[in-house]
Amino acid sequence: MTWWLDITDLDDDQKDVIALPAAGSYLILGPPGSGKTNLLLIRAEYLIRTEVPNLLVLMFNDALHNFVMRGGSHYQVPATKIRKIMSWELVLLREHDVTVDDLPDDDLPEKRRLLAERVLSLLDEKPSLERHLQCLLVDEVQDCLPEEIDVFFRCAANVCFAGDSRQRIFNTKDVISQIKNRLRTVELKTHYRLGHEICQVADVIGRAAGLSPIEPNCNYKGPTSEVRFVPCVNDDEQVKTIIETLSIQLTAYPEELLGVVAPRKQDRDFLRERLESSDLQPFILPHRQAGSDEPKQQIYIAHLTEIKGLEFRAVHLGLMQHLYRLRSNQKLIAYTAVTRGKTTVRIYYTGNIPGYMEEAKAAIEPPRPTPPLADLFPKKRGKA
Amino acid sequence: MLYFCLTNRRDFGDVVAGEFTGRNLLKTAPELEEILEHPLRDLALLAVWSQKPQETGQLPNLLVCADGTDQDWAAWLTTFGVKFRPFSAYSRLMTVSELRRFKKASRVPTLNGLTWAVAGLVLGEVLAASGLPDRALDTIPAAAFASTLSFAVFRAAAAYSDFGHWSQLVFSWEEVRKATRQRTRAIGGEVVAEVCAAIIDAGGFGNERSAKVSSDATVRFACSELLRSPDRVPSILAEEPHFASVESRMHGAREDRVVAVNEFARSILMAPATRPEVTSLMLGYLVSRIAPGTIRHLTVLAPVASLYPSAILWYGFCAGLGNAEGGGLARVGVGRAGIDLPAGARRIARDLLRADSLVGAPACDISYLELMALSRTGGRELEGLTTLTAGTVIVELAPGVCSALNVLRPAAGEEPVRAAREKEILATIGESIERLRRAYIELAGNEPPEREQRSLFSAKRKRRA
Repeated sequence: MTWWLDITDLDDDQKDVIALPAAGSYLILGPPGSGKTNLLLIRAEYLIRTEVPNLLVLMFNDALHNFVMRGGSHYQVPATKIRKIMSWELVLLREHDVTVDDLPDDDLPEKRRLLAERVLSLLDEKPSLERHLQCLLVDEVQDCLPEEIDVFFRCAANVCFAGDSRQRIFNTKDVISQIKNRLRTVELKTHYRLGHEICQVADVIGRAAGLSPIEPNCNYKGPTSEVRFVPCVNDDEQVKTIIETLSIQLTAYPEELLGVVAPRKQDRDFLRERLESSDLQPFILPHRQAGSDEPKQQIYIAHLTEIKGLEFRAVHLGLMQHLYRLRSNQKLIAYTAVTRGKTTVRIYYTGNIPGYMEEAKAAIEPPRPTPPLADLFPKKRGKA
Repeated sequence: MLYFCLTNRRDFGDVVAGEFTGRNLLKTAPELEEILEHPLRDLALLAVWSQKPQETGQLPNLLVCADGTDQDWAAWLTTFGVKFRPFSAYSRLMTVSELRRFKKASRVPTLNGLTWAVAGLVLGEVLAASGLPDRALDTIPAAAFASTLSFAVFRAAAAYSDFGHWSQLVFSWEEVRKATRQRTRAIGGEVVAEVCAAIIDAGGFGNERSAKVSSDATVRFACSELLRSPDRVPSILAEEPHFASVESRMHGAREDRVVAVNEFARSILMAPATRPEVTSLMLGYLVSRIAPGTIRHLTVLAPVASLYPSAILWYGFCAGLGNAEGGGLARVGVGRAGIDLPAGARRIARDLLRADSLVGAPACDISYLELMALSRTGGRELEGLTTLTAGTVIVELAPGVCSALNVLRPAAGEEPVRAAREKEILATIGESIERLRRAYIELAGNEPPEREQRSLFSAKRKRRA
């Protein structure tokens, strides 16, 4: 993660965040790339140093957890204090002999809800477990269930949440508006990760989803950013183009994470299979691992909901003609996907993409030259 | 003239970047007392410079926070001020009350004439902690002296007229060693603390009773007598069984003195003492009378050193007290003034009496508070410190009171060099195996069968089994 650590060069919002006292509960909001995850980890570091050791940093999913753990050398938060929400709940329940074997494995939202409810029941049965942690710091809180939020509040004396309603990719209620009433909220307005063109595309998609724009608060200072829509005649051509581009990017961005992302699981599996049978095979990260001890493994292949919270120097969004199959949440997912790229975003499709994506494409393409008025008249053309 | 600025966490970055605008105006004051009149609420901070910061571009020499917020500030500064970590190498962080206390008690360092005795005590602790022979004192680096507890304790005693934080100092010294995983010493910190406490008590350093006063009144009284009249035998020890008879033999030939002490040591071994603290003092005192003013007879204590570890400390202390043989005393300005002690004693004396200023830049690599804050998050808290000498880190336990620590870290580029060397060794082993294999084939006079290398080693494996 690329974020500020220089306290001599902070904007006003960042100053507000670093001035938060050790005690108390807080909600940190901010657009993609504003450093929420980074801030959460640094706050955990600060709290541990103020003798608040009994805390946990909770991450949403495998990929994000793995990404943070890999980047752990930048933070001095012990690895044992960084956990995934569900695995933390499971351990807590097992510690107190609550059955968890009957939870449905094929319905993740239901499994999450049931897990949270069982933790809440456990807290009802054993009130001594209330506030058994000094602090819980939770990332990507916008995708948490209301039951999970209750679990956090009841298990820890203090909480610190980081999130952004714009990046909500699951069909859950907007919990952030509820949390806001219970905590002191600090809002980061400026972001530093996303190039201007990426912001423009994100804002068009975001507008379709009713989100506020992020481009006006862009403070990106990295390499020149680029978004390219790549229409292809078929999926094979998409794969071929992705492989050609990745081969160059491996040299252009050594040791940086490059993403290849598709809308659904079957789309991801298709891309993985094809990339693994190409010359890029040695550069591909194992499934669900957003980092590796092998520095040349830079390419992370995932479907759209697996890249939550991650960031890539370049991201290839492949098979995007299937985006519409994600149904009601597709705009927020597309928004989140585009904002994972720091410098380059390429969107590949065969046939059609949803209208809001077409609009985003038009927003960054140079205006088409207006045909001469005379060309509109066939007669004249015929004469010529 | 001092320069100061009242700031807070939100604006701290601007202040250290030299931007003194709006709420962060840079002001001047002739005295620290005047600066401390500014009320410090909650997480406000007073940054103080001894030189104009716009001209020097330095971090504040002093950071003064409200009482009870220093640990929080240390954690905050070391977490968010990554670019100037460790901040405590440049700025002292203190609460208002601490600063007032230290300022009131600070003085031109002095040990009231006990400099050489304390230097001897420090040398004794080095020997007791390391298990090294006394000859080693000629070559031991100064960092070993500065790492001792007695050095820290008496540096505090010298720098402050009324230190009053003895317990905290001993605790800090031990915590820092634990946090940085220092080697286990052959003598416990509590043993050293007891000896130091007896001397501090007898020497009248500070008006607060020593936090850990020796439990034995005889030791305290004997120590007082020694400090008052180093050339006289403490009368209270003369009342102890066997002591007077041995002491009476400590005025003749050196050989006779050695025999007398040896006999005394043997008698103690036969019948262990009921009051080990007193026995330790007696042993140390008697050995110091073999060749007063020197530390050359540690071997005499060797048989009893494990049972009476503080005897070595008392030996060093009494050796530093004087060379009664020549009639003179080793007290500062009197007699031979420690001239027969190992050369390291002079270095210890210099460092104990070194002048320091509360508003000047610290001379350490990191402070206790910051080190402990860093150690709470695990990892290598001493990594990346800029130090004067590779392998040694100086930690400030209290303002102007430091302790040295060993820190072993790989030299730059050592890891890749090591990996390359390992590969080289493996290749050499491989070549040797190949040569042996060929020699074996030649001796056997036929072509090797498949997987001949396995058969080459099978006999050896069998033998091991």
